[in-house]
Amino acid sequence: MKEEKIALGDTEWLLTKSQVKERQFTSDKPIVGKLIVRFREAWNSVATKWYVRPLLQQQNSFNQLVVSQLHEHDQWFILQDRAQTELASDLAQMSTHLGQISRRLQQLDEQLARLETQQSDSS
Amino acid sequence: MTPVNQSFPSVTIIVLNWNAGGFLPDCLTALLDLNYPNFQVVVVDNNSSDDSVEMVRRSFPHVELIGSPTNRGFAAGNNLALRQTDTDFVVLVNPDVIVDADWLHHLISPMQADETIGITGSKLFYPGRTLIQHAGGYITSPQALPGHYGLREADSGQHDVPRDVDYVIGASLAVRREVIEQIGLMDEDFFLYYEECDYCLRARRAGFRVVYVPEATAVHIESVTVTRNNIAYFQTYHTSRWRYLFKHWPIAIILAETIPVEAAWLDTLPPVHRQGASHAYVATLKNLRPIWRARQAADLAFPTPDEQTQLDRALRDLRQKAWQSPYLAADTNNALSLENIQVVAERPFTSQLPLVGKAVAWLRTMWGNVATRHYVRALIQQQNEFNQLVTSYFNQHQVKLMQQDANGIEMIQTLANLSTQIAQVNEQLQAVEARLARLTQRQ
Repeated sequence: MKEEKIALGDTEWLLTKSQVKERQFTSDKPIVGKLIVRFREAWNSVATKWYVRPLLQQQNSFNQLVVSQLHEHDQWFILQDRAQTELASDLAQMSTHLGQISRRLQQLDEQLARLETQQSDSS
Repeated sequence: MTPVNQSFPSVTIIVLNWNAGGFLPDCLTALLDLNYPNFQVVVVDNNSSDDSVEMVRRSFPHVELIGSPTNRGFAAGNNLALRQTDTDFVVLVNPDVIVDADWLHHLISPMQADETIGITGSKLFYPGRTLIQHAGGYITSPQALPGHYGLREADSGQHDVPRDVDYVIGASLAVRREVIEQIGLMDEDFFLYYEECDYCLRARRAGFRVVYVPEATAVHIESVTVTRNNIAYFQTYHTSRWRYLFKHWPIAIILAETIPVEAAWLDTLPPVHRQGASHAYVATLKNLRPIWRARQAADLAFPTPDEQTQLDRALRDLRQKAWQSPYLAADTNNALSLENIQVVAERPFTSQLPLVGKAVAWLRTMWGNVATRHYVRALIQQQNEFNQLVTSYFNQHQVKLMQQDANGIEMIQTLANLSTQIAQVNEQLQAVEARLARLTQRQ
């Protein structure tokens, strides 16, 4: 089986592939090819087709649900990505503000040290 | 409540309730029928959504009721009542426990006779009373997994001797006043599980004995208020276990023994349990600073910066390990990985019939060859293509999940670093304020 690639987010294509369909019989045989095809169709119509069709419908419903779930997960990933981006940006801002507060505190500390020295000198 | 006399010291029985209305009537009826003259019963309701509060008011009007506006967990709920008691002894009881008539007398009398005993616990049975559920508890090393003596053993008197134990479960736990006065209340940062292990360990460190009393019998229906075997349960359970470990155990042992054993143990767990454990590691990572403070409050050494780094790394590795392998389809050792089962393949007909078996299989093959095989094969091919695409898509989801997970861990770490920096800035600020106040005073 040739391996097909699918990009994340392309659930539309996945949905089209989720529906398994009956195919027409074909034959490459010259002259008798058409006869073989008609014979197989008739043979298949006796019971097999009617037996397989309900199974196929159930499998298709399941496939469709799988795609729908994967699509929901995609939406969840998008939301998570957004939330994480916002959170990362908030954290970066917090870090910057904290750095500014820390530097300001350092300045105040130095000013205070000078005042303490002045006060002890004057007393 | 003051003691009537020395033979029957005063006791408060605290029943912590959360949506256990179906069990509470039997529990309270049994308590009110106790052969003991000097006790009171207090029900603490942890914001139940069932009708248990109404039921207590209606059917047990003499029982004191304390309501909590939120469900604050086992320790905080019990503490609400513990703060208000002044009796000689306090007993914690779960609402799904049905005590025997002499249960209280047997719990209290060993502590009356021996002042070194600070906490006593019961022999608890499963419903039906044939199997033991708890005959005292022990904590295993190096993971601090708890165990119960007698668990699921038929009771034939093999646990009928009182003994000192690591802990007794909070479903039926009696404590003397002096213990509460010396070690304080229960640690409210344990939401559920391990509170009693923590409390018993603290009592033992304070010099009190924790004793299992086989005569103090009761039936414990167990876990009516919590659903086990889901991710939330395992998360809460292991978060508490790691809090207990980090709060009480030597860091060197955690690093050298607990972490490697935990890593190997994860391989043996089913996915739901692993995922719960994985969440618990993250919860622990987020709460490391408060846990270290609790450790310091317990007079144990604060981990060195190097140890903190190692523990942080180890928890992340455990988290990665717990989360990863059962779900990664790329895990080729996993027989159930999607790649291994994505192709629906035809199988040759077989028959078990003697002699004619081969002929039957041949006939079926021939019959199938006429049309069915050609008809079904086309369908299988399409289904296989779809399966392969879904597998590929699912694997990309796994990669995406891992990326988001890694981002999450990184942000948790950034947040932890920021918290540390904020704490440092706060300390500097306090120092500056103090100096400023001194300066102003002098002027």
